[in-house]
Amino acid sequence: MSKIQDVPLEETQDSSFVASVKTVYNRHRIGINFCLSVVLALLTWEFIDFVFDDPDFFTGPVAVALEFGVLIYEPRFWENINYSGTELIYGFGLAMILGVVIGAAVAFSRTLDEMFSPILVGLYATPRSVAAPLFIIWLGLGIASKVGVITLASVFPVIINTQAGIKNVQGEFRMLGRAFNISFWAMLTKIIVPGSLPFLIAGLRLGYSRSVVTIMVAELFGAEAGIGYMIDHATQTFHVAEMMVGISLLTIMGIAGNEILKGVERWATPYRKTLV
Amino acid sequence: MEALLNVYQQQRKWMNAILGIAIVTVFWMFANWQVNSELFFVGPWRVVTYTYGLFASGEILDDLRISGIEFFWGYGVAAVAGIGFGMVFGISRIFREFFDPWLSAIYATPSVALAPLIIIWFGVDLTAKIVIVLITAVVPIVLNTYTGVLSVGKEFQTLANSFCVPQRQILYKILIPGSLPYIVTGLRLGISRGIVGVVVGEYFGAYAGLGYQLFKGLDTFNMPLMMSCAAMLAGTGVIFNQVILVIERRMAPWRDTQLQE
Amino acid sequence: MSSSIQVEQVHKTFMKPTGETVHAVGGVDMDLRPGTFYSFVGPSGCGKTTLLHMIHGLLPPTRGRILLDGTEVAGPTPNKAVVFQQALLLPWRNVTDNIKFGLENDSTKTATERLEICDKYTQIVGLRGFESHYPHELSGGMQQRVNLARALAVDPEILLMDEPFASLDAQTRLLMQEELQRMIDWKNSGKIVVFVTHDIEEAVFLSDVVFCFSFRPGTIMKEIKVPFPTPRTLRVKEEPEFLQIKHDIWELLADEARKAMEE
Ligand SMILES: Nc1ncnc2c1ncn2[C@@H]1O[C@H](COP(=O)(O)OP(=O)(O)O)[C@@H](O)[C@H]1O
Ligand SMILES: [Mg+2]
Repeated sequence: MSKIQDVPLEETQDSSFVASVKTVYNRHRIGINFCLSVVLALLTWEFIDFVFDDPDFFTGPVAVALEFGVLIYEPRFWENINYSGTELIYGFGLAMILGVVIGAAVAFSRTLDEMFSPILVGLYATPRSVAAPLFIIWLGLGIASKVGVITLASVFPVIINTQAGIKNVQGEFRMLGRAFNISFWAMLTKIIVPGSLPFLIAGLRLGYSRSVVTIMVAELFGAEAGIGYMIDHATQTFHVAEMMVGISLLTIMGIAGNEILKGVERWATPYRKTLV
Repeated sequence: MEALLNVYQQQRKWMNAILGIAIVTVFWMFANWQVNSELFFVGPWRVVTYTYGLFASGEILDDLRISGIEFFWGYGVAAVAGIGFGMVFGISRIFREFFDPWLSAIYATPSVALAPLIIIWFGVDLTAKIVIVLITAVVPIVLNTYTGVLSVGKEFQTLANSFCVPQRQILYKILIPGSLPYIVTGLRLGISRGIVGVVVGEYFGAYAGLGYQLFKGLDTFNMPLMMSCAAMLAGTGVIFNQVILVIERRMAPWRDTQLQE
Repeated sequence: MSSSIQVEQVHKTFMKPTGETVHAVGGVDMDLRPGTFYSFVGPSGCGKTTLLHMIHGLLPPTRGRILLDGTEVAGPTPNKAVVFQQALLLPWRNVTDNIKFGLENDSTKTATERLEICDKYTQIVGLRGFESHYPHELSGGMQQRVNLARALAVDPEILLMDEPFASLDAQTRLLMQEELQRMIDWKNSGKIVVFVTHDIEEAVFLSDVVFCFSFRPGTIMKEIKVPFPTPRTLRVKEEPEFLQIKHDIWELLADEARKAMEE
């Protein structure tokens, strides 16, 4: 529960060399283990490449980095990134707005809740990105269809978490607000928004990771450009290094967005420990 | 009139749920009537009859079987491995600190993006598809199990220590039941991801499967087939999700509330 | 079955990751004899729980040692049991199974014997009819009684209790004080009972010996013997001598409590 560790004094005051190394390790163990872990993984990755020694089958981190160095001079590469980035921003942005609006609506209105929550919860359990081909027929091969699928895929976690967050505060703290006789506006800004924020951000993080996955799925089914398109194209031509560059790009997008949202979470709710 | 209102008051939850479904259905039918072209849109009734036709003629059965095999093996292995690894990460401090950066990376990685690599490594046969389902479904299972183990308070370990519970019994007396709600959430999230894995796997050179039929529908502009496949895939997700919830309610009667994922 | 415990110059210092240290227990000596009921009273945060956990072996002392029958305590053993300050019931076990938790590790008993024992203690703590309830279905007081039954069920030679009645309502608390004496019967069984509380009256009522703790770092300011024969009835609380002892302890602790508040 508490972060306080139970370390007997003697152990920390021991001055022998081994003990001081131990102390340094203990103090920085998370950082040290992190670095070890990254280095070891890269080495393993490179080693597997060395064993297979077949660039049409497997490429190591060095080869991927080199490929990346080649690709950045191609305008097509930046077009792909731009294309997927645009999809992501519009798709996830729309999901955010719709998710909060719908989530709030079902949280505040009991009738809407009873009417649509079963459907929302049902849809939440479905693999929504498989609707990608339908969107291609409806909205064409361009960006619009991808935005549609991404929104569909990532809006549900936002809805469900917004609803859960608002309901959570309403149950616990509405009485408190009532007891102090505060206005609706104060209720909203002082209780409902801050109270449901951690849930909302957790929902945004889930939704964001769905968005990035869906870029890949949506572009597989047919696209004019994009990172998923690039990966698919590289697969058809057995260009493994380029595939890995594409996969790394999506991963970076995923990690960057997730870290940003984590940062927002820490900034907005400093009183809470970070949710996984 | 008053009697009717009374009935509504008593059963309002159910009536509203049915009303909600009715509203969506009517909206869907209206949209279909407006579009009025089977190339673009299909009404709910047509989806039902088309799906029935697929079953009646038996042409979909082989696809169901193939996709079913891919899903069951992939998801099954993902469940076992995911819970196992999640437990190890949660229990062992060394493992945790060593792999924690990777776990958050994995959380943010679109694991379906690895599908084409898997195809190159494993070929286009069934194994590759099972592996794709496995890697897509395993992520939420590992992460949630891991979070679950960490969420079991240290005080329960102290309790077990104080009553001299042997170390290896702590696993099934404290850690597994304590993290069960999280494990269940992970298993539920894994289902829809696994189904996406099935579809993406079948994109790369399959000869049968629900995903394959979905692509065939796209290539041949067969909207009813696409809608029907999408509905079946979605329905599978809903059904498995419910199955897990029912099992959980059986196994974990102590839980009075549902965990939010 | 009669063990004794020696606590010799025991200190405990906690270190926070920031490097800041907390000197919780500051040199405690005590000699605990079988068949005696001891209480620890003192302001909150003075290290009572810490000392109790060290006696059980859940924490090692930073300095000094604790001997049980002449050998140093190295960890929890089945002949000691703790009633925790928070009930700490496993949410996934019903009342019976929670009470059974400690018994399960005793391989000398068969499954039916265990069930019989659980049954007996369910009765003793007055939870008949609630056997299959889960913790979230019980009130705080009931949870605390399960906590108590769980420790009693292993029939320990050394029973360590950490403010077990803190969450009970005043009436139940009085009844439980009377009941507890009957339940444990330490005189005949030769048990050592250590009872942590911040309620002076409760300490005097229950104990043969009361240890009064100073504020952090916790040390024993005074050891007071309570002369009334056990088991006692609540009427003892009105006797002049009882009131006098209570008053003396209050005088002693008032300053320490003030220090704790000012912190
Ligand atoms: N694990 C720990 N790490 C650091 N400090 C602790 C720990 N446990 C207790 N303390 C500190 O030691 C002091 C004594 O605590 P405790 O024994 O719980 O007091 P009491 O039970 O008398 O109220 C408190 O100041 C508390 O903050
Ligand atoms: Mg305490």
